[in-house]
Amino acid sequence: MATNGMNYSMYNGITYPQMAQQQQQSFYGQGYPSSFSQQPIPPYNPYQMYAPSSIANPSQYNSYDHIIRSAAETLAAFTNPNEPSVINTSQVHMPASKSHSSSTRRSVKNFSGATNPTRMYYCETCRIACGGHATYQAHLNGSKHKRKELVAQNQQTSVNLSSKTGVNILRCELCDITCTSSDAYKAHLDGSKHEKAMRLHRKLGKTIPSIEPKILNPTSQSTTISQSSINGSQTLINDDQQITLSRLLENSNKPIGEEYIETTYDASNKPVLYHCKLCECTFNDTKGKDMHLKGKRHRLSYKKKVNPNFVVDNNSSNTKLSNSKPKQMNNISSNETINNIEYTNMDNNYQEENDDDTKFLMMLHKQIVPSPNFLNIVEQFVSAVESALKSCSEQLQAFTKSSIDENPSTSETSTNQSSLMGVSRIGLLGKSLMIKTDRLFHIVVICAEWPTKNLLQTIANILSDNFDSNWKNQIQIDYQADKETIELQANTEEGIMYISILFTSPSIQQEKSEDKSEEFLSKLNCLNALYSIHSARWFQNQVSIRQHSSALIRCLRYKTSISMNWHSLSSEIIEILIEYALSQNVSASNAFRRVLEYLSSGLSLLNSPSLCIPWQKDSTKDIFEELTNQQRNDVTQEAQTGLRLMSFGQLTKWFEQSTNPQLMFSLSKRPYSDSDDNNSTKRQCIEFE
Amino acid sequence: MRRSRPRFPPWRQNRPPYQHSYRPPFSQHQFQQNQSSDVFDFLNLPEAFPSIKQLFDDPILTAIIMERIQQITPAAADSFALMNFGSVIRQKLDILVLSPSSFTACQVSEVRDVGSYKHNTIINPPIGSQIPLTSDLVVVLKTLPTREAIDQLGNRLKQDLQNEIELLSIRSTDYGLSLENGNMAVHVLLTTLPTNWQSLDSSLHLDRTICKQNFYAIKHAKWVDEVCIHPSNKLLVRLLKDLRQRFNGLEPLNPWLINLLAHHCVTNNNNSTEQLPPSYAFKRALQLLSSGLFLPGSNGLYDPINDTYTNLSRPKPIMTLEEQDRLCYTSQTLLRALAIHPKYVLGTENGPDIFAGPCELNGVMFIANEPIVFKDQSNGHAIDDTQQQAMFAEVNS
Repeated sequence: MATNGMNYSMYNGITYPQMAQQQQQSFYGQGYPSSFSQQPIPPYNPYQMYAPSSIANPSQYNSYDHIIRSAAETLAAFTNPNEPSVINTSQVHMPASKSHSSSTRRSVKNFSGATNPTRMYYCETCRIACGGHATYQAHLNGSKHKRKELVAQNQQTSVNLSSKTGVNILRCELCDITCTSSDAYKAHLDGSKHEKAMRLHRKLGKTIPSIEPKILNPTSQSTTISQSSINGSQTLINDDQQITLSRLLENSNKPIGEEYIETTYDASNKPVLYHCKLCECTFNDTKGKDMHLKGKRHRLSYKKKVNPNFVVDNNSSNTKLSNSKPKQMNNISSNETINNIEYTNMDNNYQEENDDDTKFLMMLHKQIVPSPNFLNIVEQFVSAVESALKSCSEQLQAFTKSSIDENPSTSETSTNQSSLMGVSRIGLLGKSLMIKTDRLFHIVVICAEWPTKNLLQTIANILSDNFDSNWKNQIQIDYQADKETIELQANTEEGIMYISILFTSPSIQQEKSEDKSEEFLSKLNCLNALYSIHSARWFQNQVSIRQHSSALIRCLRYKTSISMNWHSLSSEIIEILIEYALSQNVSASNAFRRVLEYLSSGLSLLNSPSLCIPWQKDSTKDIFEELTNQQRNDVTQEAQTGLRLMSFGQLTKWFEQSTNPQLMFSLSKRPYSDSDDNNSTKRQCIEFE
Repeated sequence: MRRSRPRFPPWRQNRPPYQHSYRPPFSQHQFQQNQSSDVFDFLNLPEAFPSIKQLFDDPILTAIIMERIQQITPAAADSFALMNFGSVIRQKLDILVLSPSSFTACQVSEVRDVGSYKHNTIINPPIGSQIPLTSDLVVVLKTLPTREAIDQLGNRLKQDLQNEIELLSIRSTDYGLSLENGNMAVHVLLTTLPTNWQSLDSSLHLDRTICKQNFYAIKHAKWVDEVCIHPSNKLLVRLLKDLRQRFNGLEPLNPWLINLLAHHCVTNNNNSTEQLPPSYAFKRALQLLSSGLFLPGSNGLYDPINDTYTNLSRPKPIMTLEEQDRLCYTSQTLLRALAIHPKYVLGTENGPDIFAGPCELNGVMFIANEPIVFKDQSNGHAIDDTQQQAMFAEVNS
């Protein structure tokens, strides 16, 4: 016996002193009659030697971790087979377990027991399985088990009164766990503990209770003698308690304030850390984050910090508040009217962000966003032009006297085979990306067939007659034969505005020939106009739905207007880059930084793998194709400077830099290629005041 | 005796725990508190970033790289001579390990080869300079590295070597000893066992940071030996070392960072095991540096020895802000120059000094990026409100 004791302590006591102690208990529990096993203090000296801290209360070690379990198995293996304490493998019911266990507890033989010599011991009360008999014994003697047993006995007779009345308590029968909310219950169902228990029960062939939660509401348990009748909460009808799981899932709150979650990414761009800015807490996984977003604490801080009108129900499991949730989607309405509200909403979105860069961008955006008055004037001007074009088309129709067939097009569309099919706003107008300094806008007239120069001339001539009288005096019409556009110029309260009307036709894409003849417009110009229409459509579908996108693009566009180096960077390129940056679910300032990183790492340089144009899937056109070598270099340099300024918290300098007269001087000295003119039709030109 | 470490860093003592209104003026920590992420890397985003050209191998650049590698690799004879020189010294030091009683000034625990010679990434020193080819040895002492002990060790080595090789000079430096032999040198980096680090006093012994640094050199060497085996990797290390030698701005990139960066660029290929060719990896290294790999707000590279990201290493940041900026703007400028005039950047062709001022490079007006953080600048970023107001006034006008 003594030698055995030495052995065990060698295996246990050296590295895990507390484990040795635990094992002593179980070991003696096996070897001696049950009455003895109640006394955990070992009578042998060697144990004291190896576990000097054995005076410590064994209840300290009530948690059963796997190390202890495995050590217990080792112990069993080293037991001398001749000793009375030996576990006979064929023995199912142990005297020790019988002695002080109720009928709820027994060891169960594993189903695969015939082939597998190791058996499974299962404790009904605690719903755990033990790998070996020794472990099982140790468990039975543990304080955790005893406590559970006590609770189980009490539960038979009395109702659990500890819970507050009026609160739904959901109980998982399988794991014997009570949850106070449906969210917690759901989390439990998803968790590994529940899964483990499921697996174990399936393996043991036990019946698995349904996962429908058992609602333990003290008020509803009228059969018991609970004092809940004193409370007024008995108004609850019993039927209400029949909450099914599906209903719970459906009733759960919608997550709110997702935009306050900051995500950190690892090298492979997988999110690794979420940080809730409202509640100042972090999560490692999506589930935790989602739980938090639905949680009461988060909702309360959302109410406190973001939206004071937000309703937080006391009982979060029964709330439905999709209506009260403020949604600030920057959805641009497809009916092509400039949405004033949208412009103002844009900077409201920013107000919740806290870091300096975002604050600065927000402030800048406020400065560069055009005033409602300005937008109104632009809108009036553009719609005047559109209606004038419409009446032009009717006039043309009358000229040709061709048969009228119905054409399901937009409201501006006039139906005529030989002439104008419709008008589309492109560029800044179509994308609502205007900033204060913009004065030149573009619209496209879509013709049924390849437009001729003759047609343009005719329209230019009759256009002025078709304006209503208010506008007639203010507008100058100029037919630009070389650019193949009609330029309109209007004197408004906000200064002179320009509209350039381009012409194109969808039929051009099918044409194989390069340029038809002199009388038709050049193919390149028409294709560019079509390209702009596609770009506007792509923007409306892909980019504008993303939060902050328009505001960030406006900020960057402002930079192109003030910096000579970025002058060549078209709005399309910025839109594409912002789209990529925002598609990775980053915050506004991070997206801004990302764009600078893209350009800094030489995306626009000659030797880089450049980017496709997203609205032209098949083509191999490069978005930086138009830029000269010098421009590519300058664009990169400016972005690189911007990135460094932003990293060092000096982003403000980047936006003021070019207004610095000294720098402007040095920049203006540089020879600049004159390719600007070629680009101007494609680029959304920015006119300086 | 063990000194107990204070529970809070000095700036948090006597301060209520974490007040939100409080912000340190302008420090490294301010940036580190902010959320940081990995910088943009083209390779890691293939599907999110549909590129047109797959430029894995760039034949023009590869040719230039190969030419340059020829120029910077030391001749076989030199490298052989250096090996001889190093191994003789190593022999003498090994004797001290084996028979400690023969030498009383200090006790040597172990001797290890480290550095570029061991990893076969040594490059020729710049032409015309007096810097010799060097190999490095780390000597771990059981005793404390006092100045006297180091001098004694030097004398002992001098005596032992007297008859065998021609030794021109031996001098003690702030990292240990330097033994020179005309056109080559062996640096003996001295350190002591980590248990002794606490008792180091910089007035008596070698500096503690240097001791740590030398000790970590062993670990770094082990890692490099084990992991950085691909020839493309070694090639890239050479190229980066050469670049650093020619452009002062890259100075903050120490040899360990070069190894890390090269390894990252060659092997971290979007979860594929394929190693990148040197032309692409070289470009990638510059791209990463340019997009702010070591700038605040980025994680930096993963350091396997410290088990953390380089930019987040707490006790002592690897670079000062000024160095971060210098490294970044230099590599940004080089990246742009590489697109215009690769031969110049790689050093196979002479050109105007791009950092001197505006110049013309292959028909493009080229201006080097300018620093935005200066050495003496401690809180330069604080733009006062009036300045901001003035700026917005201009926007509005």
